[in-house]
Amino acid sequence: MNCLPDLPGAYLDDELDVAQRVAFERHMGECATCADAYASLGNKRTR
Amino acid sequence: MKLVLSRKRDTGKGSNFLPPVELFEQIMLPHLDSAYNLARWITRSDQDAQDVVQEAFLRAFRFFDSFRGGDGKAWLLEIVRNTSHTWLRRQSRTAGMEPFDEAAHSGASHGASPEQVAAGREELQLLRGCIEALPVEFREVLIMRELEEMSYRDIGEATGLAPGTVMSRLARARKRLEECAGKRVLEAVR
Repeated sequence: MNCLPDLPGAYLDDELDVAQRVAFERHMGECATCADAYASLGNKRTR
Repeated sequence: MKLVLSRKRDTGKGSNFLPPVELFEQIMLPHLDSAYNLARWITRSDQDAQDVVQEAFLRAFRFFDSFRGGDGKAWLLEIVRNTSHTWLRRQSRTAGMEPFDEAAHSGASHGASPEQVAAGREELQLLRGCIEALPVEFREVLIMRELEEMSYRDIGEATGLAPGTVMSRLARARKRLEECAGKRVLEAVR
């Protein structure tokens, strides 16, 4: 599975359209690397 | 910062009318701090940033008739960005950074213990150093997004980049920032 390294930040920035959001959410369910990247970025934002 | 706009009529061909100063001020002056902030992070110098902003506002004023409406921030920051890059090329210097003006940029820290203040200051210093060490093409999009809270579309407008490029450049900027911060923290505890 190919990682999507540009998307976790864009997802958190709320810059993805509906189709991209759904696709990325589905992707995170299957890709631990992207899910971790998203969680890590999200944690940093809440600090 | 103090801004001086010339009200002198430009007699150049095709621009022989005076843009309404009041309208210009009303639309552009609210973005003065953003303009300074972006210029400061690109030039990495307080004095240069002031000069860049002064020059950028004069340019913006001169070409105000090409402004097509909206809140003006992306339009103005595009000029500030271009002016900053021209400035950098003119100065032809990448080294010799001036020390950051801590007093002017640090926020109030009411209620925090001295240890917390010191730790926060250290963290801020570390992040600042890492941002300043980023290549300018990463630094500018990061500042526009994280400090100026601009949308990807507005960043694209200000930088001339496609939305997909803004997205990937931001992702790479954040990754580099994270790597730099991690490295410096490790160096500090060694």
